[in-house]
Amino acid sequence: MSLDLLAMLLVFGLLIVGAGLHKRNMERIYTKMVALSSKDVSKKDLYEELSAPQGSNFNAFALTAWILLSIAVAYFYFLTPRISLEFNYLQIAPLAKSPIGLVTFAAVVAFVTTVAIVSLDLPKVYSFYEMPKRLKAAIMSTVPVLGVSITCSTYMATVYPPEFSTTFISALGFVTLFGSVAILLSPIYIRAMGVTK
Amino acid sequence: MKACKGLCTLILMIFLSSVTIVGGVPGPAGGGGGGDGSDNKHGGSSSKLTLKKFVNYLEDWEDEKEFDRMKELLWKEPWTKETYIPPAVWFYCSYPNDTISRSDELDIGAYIQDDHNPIDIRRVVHLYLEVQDPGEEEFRTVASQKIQVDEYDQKYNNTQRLFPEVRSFDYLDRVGDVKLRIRATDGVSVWDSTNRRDNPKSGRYGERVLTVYNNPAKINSTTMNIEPDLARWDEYIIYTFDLADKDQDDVDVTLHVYRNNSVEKSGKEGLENETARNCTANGDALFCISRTFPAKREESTFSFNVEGSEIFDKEDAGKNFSYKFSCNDSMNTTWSEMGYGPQLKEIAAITVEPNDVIPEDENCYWWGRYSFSLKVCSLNPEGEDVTVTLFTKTENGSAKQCGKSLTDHVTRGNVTTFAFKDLKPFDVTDRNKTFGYYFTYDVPDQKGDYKTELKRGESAINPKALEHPMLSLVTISNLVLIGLISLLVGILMERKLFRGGR
Repeated sequence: MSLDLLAMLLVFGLLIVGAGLHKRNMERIYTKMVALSSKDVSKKDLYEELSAPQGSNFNAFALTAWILLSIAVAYFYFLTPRISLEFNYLQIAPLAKSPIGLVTFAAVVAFVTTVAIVSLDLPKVYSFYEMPKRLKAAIMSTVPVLGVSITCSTYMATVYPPEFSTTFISALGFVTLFGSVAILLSPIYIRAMGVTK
Repeated sequence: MKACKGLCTLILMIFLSSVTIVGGVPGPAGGGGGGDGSDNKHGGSSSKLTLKKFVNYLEDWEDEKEFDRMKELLWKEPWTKETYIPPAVWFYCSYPNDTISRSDELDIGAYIQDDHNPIDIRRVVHLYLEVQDPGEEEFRTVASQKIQVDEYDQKYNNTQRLFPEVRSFDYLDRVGDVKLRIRATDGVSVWDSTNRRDNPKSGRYGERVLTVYNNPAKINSTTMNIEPDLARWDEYIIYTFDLADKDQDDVDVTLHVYRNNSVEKSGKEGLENETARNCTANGDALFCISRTFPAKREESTFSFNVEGSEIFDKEDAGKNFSYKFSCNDSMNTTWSEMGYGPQLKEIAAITVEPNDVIPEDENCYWWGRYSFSLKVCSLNPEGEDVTVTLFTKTENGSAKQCGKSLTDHVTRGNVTTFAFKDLKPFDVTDRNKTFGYYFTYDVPDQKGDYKTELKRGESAINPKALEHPMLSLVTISNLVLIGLISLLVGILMERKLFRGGR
């Protein structure tokens, strides 16, 4: 298995496990609640009661971070033939030829992500978790970090095929991408590991 | 009486010859070299056997037991017949059917049965194979054999002879019924097998009638080919085909060339019915030419080289033709299916010469600009209006038109250059590939073609993927825009849809 494929599996694995853990966290809360309460409580009502607003600024940055995350993932894996020779930005001649090809590609990805965020009601996920200020700051800081990842991927594309070693840039792009995913999902992982009540 | 005479003569001959060989007859006289002298009353010591002595011997032996045994041993059957009867002859042929092709092989021979004549009076018999060919009234001799008196089977008094000269009927130039029989002669009398009763099981016939048919030569139409398919009117053209004839005859193959009415090469529309130029074999063909080919049993490839035959002339340029073959093995004529070709090129109106491609950047990037040009000169004194179009083609890709077509009037003696300048014929998917280009035009060039051959670029397209480097206004602008768009979308979503998670 190539390193690129392994890197891709790591990022997507982190996302999928995060989604699974969130679901488990919610189930555990519901089960505890049912055990402690004599009345029947519906899930919907419980979740409604549990959600706590995290603030507009945080939400705006978190949403921006998730959009940038999807762009960073698309850039890292599909701007150059890293994963597939057939399915990548360089095979879409009109985009690669256009001076606004990069931003167009990103806009398409952003649109798809926006649709997904709205349909999944992503800000609500954060509202179920306890969010200390430092954690919020960390999540908001992923916006520039993901900017670094996108810049690294863009650089890799501009020098493709590279005539010199680009390992450092590639590694930096991956580390920033992976770190951002980890930070964005950290409330879920922290709750799952039982660090906070 | 006769028998007794015969016996005595034989005994006498044997006895005399014994004496001659051994110098004496061993016997009771004891006079011979081998005698033991115990009984010498007839001859004393003399070793010479006289007739009188021999008679005495016989009279003396008559009373002895062994005398009858000796008579028995020395008895020879006397000739019982003195009249010679010619032996019976049959035509022999093992072929089971009544019809046979000219090339089918068979064993032909004669069968003789001589039950009447003892070896002493048998005669040497000459056998002749006679054939009555189709349409003929007379038999003719095609082969002969000779049977010696001692060549009969001792037990059955018969013999059989094959005529290796005749193994098939491939010599026939006409098909039909062939009659075969055997004629025999012993030097005194002549007879034949005609009236003998047939015995097909053993292959013996009085007279055999075989219906001989011909296997016509055949051309396999699927193997017909013409090279080159697109040719100049005066070019060397070769027609090839696969021919087979089970009878392995020398086959006269005639090529018939027709002019198509249809412009389409594959058009099977009617053929132009014009007066034949050199054709006698087929009236509606434009041209016919014949050659003789030694056909074989299996299909083998032959070619019709029409060099020097002047099938086409200048007026045929630009026209399409069809062709057919007929083959005749001197008995049957068969025809191939219609083949299409050649397509003759037009007579040249211009001369063309493509120039090398000039890339804007020596690195040959896909986003770079390239200039192409074609030099054209008219061959007609009045000049030609020529429209030229440029096509480029990358490795494994299809040709695509590049830029717009150019039209100009070209004159004789002056070279007109059709220049396609500063074109961007490639895209990002063409990077790292070799490329070629060609021009098409609406008048025939010096080769009779309407396009130049594919000319290769000197080097492959540079593999570099993106035109703008990282530190360029375009790239940086793109990145800044990405950040701004993301932020804007995030804020808008929050404001319009989520409102702080409330």
